[in-house]
Amino acid sequence: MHPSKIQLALLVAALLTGAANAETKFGDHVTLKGFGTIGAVVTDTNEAQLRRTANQASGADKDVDFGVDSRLGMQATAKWNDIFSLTGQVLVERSAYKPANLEWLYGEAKLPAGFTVKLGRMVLPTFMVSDSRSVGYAAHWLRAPQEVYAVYPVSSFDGGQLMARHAFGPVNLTAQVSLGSTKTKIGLYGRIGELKVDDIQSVNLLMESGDWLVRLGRTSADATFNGVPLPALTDHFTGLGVQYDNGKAIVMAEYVTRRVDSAVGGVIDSDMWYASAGWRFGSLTPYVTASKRKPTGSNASRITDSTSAIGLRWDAMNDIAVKAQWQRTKGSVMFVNATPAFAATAPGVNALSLAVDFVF
Amino acid sequence: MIRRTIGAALLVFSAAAAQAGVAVVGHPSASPLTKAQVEEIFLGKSQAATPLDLPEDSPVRAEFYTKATGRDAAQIKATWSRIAFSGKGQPPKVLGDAAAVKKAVAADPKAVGYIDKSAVDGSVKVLLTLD
Repeated sequence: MHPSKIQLALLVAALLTGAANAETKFGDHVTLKGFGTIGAVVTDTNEAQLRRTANQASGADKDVDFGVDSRLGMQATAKWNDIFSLTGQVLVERSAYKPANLEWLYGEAKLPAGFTVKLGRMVLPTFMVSDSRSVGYAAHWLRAPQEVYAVYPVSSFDGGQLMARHAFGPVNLTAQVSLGSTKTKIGLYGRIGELKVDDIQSVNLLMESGDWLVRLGRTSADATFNGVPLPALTDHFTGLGVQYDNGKAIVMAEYVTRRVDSAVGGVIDSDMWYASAGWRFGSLTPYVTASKRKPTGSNASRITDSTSAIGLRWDAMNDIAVKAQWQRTKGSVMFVNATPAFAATAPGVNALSLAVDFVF
Repeated sequence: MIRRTIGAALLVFSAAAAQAGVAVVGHPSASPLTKAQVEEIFLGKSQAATPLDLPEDSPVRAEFYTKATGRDAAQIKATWSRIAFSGKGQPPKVLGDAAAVKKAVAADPKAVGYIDKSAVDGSVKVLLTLD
């Protein structure tokens, strides 16, 4: 056995042992919980590598890759009283520039009349499931569709957020307004540099009623990159999402437009969407997902990304789900290290993924 | 006389059997709830009340979630994982048994729990019955 495989086996054993334990409470005030995924991905090409997020600089090809989906998250909440609490979340995953990242560290105050204020570092709700995209156990699919979720390298920000929750008859409405900034290292045109994201303004509306959830969101941010000379730009994401879950059937769909104001025109303008549906047969949930990202505007002649996937979630035991997914994918955003010929023609690639998701 | 006793015993027994089911209980001052409201409270969609759970291995817990939400234990765990790991809330507090649930809801007008129907007494109000 190769040493790295032994290490992996030990890691798996350690994680599963951890998963067997229930969440840990330190007195009544501090709760420590975790989530994670152990995943393996293989494709039928060596011309490019399939990745999960925009921050991964390597991915899966004909050699089985254990780094694309594998990750471990830890979340601690310290509660002072019914009003004040402090929450931190650390995520360890394959990421070219920050393998272990402090995703969140915020103080929260629950105010009367359904208002909540958060200050610190927290998730940027650019998309419908931005806040739970890394928690495999919480989702029916093996991974969030890359056409939407692998595009934007910014996942959290530093600033403030006001959340209001109110019931209007049978509809529970949640409104989130977020303001702040962030910076993150990214690679662009072969150069590593710092992406500075300022003046983030995000509005997120969730309407929940019975088995339905409808989400409307708009996130705008100014961005500058110091790796190569690029004009400053302002990004606007506008999204509509729907979820339906009646306990048997689950349907999720999201449509997002990205429009960029910049001196060079809309070089990254695009429309992105996915639709996914699953059906629960006891502990088995087969599902299908289709997703697409289509460049628009002055960018419209660029390659369209698309994926068709079928998969199965098996709730194997307490707190552990096993998933398998086959997908046919073509495009550019979900690939890295592509040969010039692959990048030019974007041929279809078949990929098989296996994952074990757990919470503890 | 003996027949009467047997008859009475059968009556008691059949009455107990008919009572199998789960009672959603709250503070004596709380208003009754619909099944849809109970489902929203225990799936984290509504903040109208504070849900309380029985332990994971409790058969009453499994019966409650099946009847109130149509979901099994794994689906409930996945739902609360999504809520907790997105920073939107914490799963219901787990209490040891029906007595602890009754004590908690009798002390807090916002708390809602569920217990076996046979465990209902005057300290709590039945907000919904799931048969």
